[in-house]
Amino acid sequence: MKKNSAADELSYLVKLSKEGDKEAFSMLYEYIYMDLYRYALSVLKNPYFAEDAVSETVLSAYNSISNLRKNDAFKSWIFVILTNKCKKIASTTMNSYSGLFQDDGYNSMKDACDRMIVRDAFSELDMDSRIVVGLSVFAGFTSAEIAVATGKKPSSVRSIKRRALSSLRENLERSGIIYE
Amino acid sequence: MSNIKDIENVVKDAYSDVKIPLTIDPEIMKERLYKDDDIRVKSFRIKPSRSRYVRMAAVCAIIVICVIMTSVSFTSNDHWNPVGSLVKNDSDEEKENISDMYASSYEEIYEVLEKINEQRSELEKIYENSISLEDTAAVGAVSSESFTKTNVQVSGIDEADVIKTDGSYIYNCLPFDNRITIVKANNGKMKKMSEIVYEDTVSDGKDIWLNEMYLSGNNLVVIRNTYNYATMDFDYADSKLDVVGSDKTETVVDIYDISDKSNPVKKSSHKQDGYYKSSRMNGNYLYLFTDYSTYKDIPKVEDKIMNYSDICITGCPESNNFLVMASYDVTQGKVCDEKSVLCGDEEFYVTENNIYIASQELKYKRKKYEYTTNIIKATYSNGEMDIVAKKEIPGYIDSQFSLDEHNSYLRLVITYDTKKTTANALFVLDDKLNITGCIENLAKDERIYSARFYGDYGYFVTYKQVDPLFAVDLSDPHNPVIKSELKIPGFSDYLQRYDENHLFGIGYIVDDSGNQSLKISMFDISNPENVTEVDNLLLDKNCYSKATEDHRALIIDEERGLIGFSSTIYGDYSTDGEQYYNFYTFNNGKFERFAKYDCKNLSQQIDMYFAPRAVIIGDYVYLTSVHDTGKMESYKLGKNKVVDKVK
Repeated sequence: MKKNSAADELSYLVKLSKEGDKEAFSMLYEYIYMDLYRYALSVLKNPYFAEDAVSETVLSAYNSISNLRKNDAFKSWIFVILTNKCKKIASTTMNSYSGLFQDDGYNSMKDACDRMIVRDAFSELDMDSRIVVGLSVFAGFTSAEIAVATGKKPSSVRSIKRRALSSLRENLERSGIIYE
Repeated sequence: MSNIKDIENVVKDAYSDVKIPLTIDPEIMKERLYKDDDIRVKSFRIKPSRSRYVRMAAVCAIIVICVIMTSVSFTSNDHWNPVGSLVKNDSDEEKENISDMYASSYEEIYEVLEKINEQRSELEKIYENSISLEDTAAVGAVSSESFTKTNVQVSGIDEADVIKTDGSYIYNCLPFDNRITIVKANNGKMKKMSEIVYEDTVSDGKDIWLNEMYLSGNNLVVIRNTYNYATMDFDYADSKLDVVGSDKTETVVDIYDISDKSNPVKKSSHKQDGYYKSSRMNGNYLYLFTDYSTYKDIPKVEDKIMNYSDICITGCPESNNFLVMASYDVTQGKVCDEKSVLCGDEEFYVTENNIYIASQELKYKRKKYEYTTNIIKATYSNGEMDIVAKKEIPGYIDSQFSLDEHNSYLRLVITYDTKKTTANALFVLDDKLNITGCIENLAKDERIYSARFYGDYGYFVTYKQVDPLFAVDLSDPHNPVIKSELKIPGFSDYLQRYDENHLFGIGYIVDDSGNQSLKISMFDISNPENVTEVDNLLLDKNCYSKATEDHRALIIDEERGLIGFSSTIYGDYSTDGEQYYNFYTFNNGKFERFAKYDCKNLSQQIDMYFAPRAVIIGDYVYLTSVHDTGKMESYKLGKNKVVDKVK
């Protein structure tokens, strides 16, 4: 079967996964695993927790992919699962803390430092803000989609996002990462 | 707005080179999937899960009961419209036992939370197409004596704001600068008296964010959030990480004595768990509402865990978010009462004696996800609160202005999902939140953009392409009747009375290419059978106003007949954009421009959300950039020349 677009191919993989095709599901995972991990890391701040969150999410998703009604909603659906896993992990661990980022393979020391500064700034936001901004940045959700995923009103989502990004901008301007 | 995208890209880039742990590498994941016997795709026949069947059966049963009940009990009332009746009418057995609403132990609360968390993680939150909701609330200013006060929904119930005045001094709250300024108006020759500065204590694992404030006699009540977050220290001696603190959000109230304007003194400070959601003040009492989202923690007020008997667990079945309601006596500086209820995302409508919470959740109904609203009612008096009733209604409300209490009846308008599209309804509920009257199936395919109730009449606007403004006669709570429907292009996001016979609306008109222009309208409501649009004005293209989203940003000064609001025209690559504060009057059936102040100097950034706010004191208007710089300009009413500037 010849599939034309990436979206079509994803839908097809979802269809196969529902029938128990592990290879197809693995390919689905390969499409999004990086965004999943980056999102989890931005929310949980700790690479070990983020790893657990993604791991649990993948297994949950695999076990219940037959629940997914609309095949083309796969990406959104799995990000919602991941968000709930992140919340669970965040609340059941006594403390969540900024993780030690393993840096390697950068173009320059400055790049590495700058990125770490941005990630640190991001981790200073509260959890709701990290989830809202994270879903926007890593999952590409619109405000309305974030609203549905988090149970908030879209207007609340917009306020949270606005405030968080403003706060980040100020922080980053102060650190010299970005300029006015 | 382009700045926001830039920041998002910076964030995205910052995580682009993080090392992905080996255990979740796709190759390793594949091996795990193939190896692990516990992992198998459950057969299609077993799904959907049993709980879902039960829920679906329950929904069908309720609809059947509904239809039977309505035909049996209400055949005498022709206006009831029992076809496809939305909501079940309580029989004696189905009526909620109010005393059961509070928890009887902490264990009971944990059980409820456990169940909700299970449901949420059952991966049922699959959504179809995005549903777009907008916030509509316009604020009009209600003036008395000779200065403009906060434009509140209910006279006598104060709402917090970033700008307040007592007729002599202007108080500005600058959330982006973590400070508050107190400026003497002094007939236009302004003088800054003092500042309250909040230290940026980011390095200590605390982040402070100012929200808004109240003026109460000689007290300045400041509401802020404190975000605590964990910091870590690497202990080289023991080679381990010391983690200090944890992620937690609290809302803090600081009460300042401002008898001496040049020297504000903090009297007391109070806090409760959660994000600041909203608040009201009635007399000396502050009622503070915060949202505490948790997996399993009980919220704290003033560092003490709330008593389970103050926590209502039957508010909303699907939410694990605690709404924390606490009251504080501002003069004595102490907490009075605290209550909590599990809730979704809330709107608050507070009257002299009652607090209504409209909590919206997504529920799985009729094979898809639909919004439902739980109306929760709490009575209050002198700081004491008690949750007394609740009612579930399908759909979602537009804003706090969608609810109104009159002669102890609650009226509300709501947008709900039908099988294929949306429709709108109006409900009248009695003091126990039983439905006494309703009109369903209004304005199919559209949703409510604005609503306002005045006495026996209610007005609301629905929109898809054309804006029907409905006028409803509510004089009989058992028999609400649509009196007229006015169709005009564009829509009003906020409605407020201009005078006895006129309703002012501010909103937008969208052309075929999707460009939005700010539109103000004046409706003649002297004859409810025939509501007409007397005049309208289109302001510039691509023009937006904060007043369409925040009712406090609109001034309607009935005494002087002035309407005031900011307007923002976003720039593009070649232009900078413009920002103004406008005043209009309405004479002989026509809008007349009274003043237009260029606010470029007042804003660091041209953005609707950073638009300046204004107050009128005597013959002068004072503009403040409340969001960043705190710069102020004063003008004599009717003149365009700046009298004085601050900062």
